[in-house]
Amino acid sequence: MKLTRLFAIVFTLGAFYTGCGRNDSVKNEGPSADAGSSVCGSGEVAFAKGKTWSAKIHWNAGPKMGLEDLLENRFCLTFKNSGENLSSSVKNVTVIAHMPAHGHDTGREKPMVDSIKGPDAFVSNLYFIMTGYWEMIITADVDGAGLDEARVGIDIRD
Amino acid sequence: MKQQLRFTSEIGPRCFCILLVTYLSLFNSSVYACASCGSGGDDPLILFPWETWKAHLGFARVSDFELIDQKGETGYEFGPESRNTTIVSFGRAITNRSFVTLTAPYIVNQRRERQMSGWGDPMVAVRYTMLQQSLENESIPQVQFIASYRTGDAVSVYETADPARLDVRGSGVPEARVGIDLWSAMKSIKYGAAQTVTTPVGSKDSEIGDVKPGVAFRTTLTTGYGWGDQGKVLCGVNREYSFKKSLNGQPLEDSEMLAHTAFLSADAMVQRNTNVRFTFAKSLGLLDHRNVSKSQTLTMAVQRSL
Repeated sequence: MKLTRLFAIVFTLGAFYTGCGRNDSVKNEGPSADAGSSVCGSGEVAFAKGKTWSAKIHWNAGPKMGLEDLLENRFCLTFKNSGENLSSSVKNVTVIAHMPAHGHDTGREKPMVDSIKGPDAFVSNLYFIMTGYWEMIITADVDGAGLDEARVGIDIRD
Repeated sequence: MKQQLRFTSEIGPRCFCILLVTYLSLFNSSVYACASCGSGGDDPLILFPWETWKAHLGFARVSDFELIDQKGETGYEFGPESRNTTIVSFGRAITNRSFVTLTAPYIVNQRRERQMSGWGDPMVAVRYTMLQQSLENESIPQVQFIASYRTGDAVSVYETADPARLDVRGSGVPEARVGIDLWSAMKSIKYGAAQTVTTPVGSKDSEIGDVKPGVAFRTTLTTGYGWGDQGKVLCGVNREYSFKKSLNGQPLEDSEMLAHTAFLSADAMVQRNTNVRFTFAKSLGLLDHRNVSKSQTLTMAVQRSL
């Protein structure tokens, strides 16, 4: 009986802590529970406006500008569908980075999606040409739900 | 081949400038060097009431760039370390109260050992003197109405093909400007003020959407001292504020621009028809700046009435 009560308390507490704090549009998240299907590490999660997908952003290089010479920034996106399951089909992924206060993007070099493997999309060739507040616009079609976009703010200081 | 092309693209403007300076030095025409008319405004070339044709040749070097972000904090940008501009301007009187000027800049952007050059956006300006100064009442200032138009064809940040944006020489959007210029120069102590409003004409279709700069207000206050028609020294301040830019018709948050600069200039009449002017301008560090690159500018110019 005591053991049953103890189990019930632990189960309730566990359900409480895993069920709260899901209202933010971007939040930190550890490695996916289905880590076997994704090779990307931990990072912020961005939620699409139309709520058709969410994407965890793991930076492999950066985010930085580079003071003497521009540094190439690279990151990995892990997509989940609206049911919060790892996506089985990710298509038409594009990334644009711009400075909202200035109205310009990254100039000559544009971010490129190198490859898409399962739920992961690998992005490179991202150069921040100045410090300040940047916004990344990520567009994708996840599991056939149609194109949707998420916006992620980044404050580049060095 | 690349060396020959570079030689050709650079030698043309340099030869033209040398010939222009030589011509201006040899030509002789009678002109009063009341070089204070309208100097509270923004245009490099002002015609005096009795002048018919006038030419201006200026060299400006802008350096010490310092990026200021939307919070007013110092940042860094991967761009030109200096910008050298050759400014050519011609003016023609329309009536004894109005004149038109055409100004074209040739810009050289440099970062370390790399540089790129080309023409910037030309500007046509008209001034009409609503109130002329008079010896009968020296305290009444001259009041001029200003109108100008600058094209937006030169390469801008929206279509740059260089990683350091050395090919950027324009804003990308044509702009129209109107304003009032007040100038009092009949006495030794001189003062002036100008207020202009610059509005974009159209927008720029960029990779991220349709971008439109905000309307900009520029205020200039000038004062100084002159020695007859021999020369004068002026100092002044500029304040420029731009409202928010817009993207696809929606205002971009925190995109307002604010800049304050101070300038010091000295004019000297080297011949009866020729003036030389030196100007030093620098961003005022003690005042607020937002979304601008602070810098300092050194300019030398020759003006001659033809």
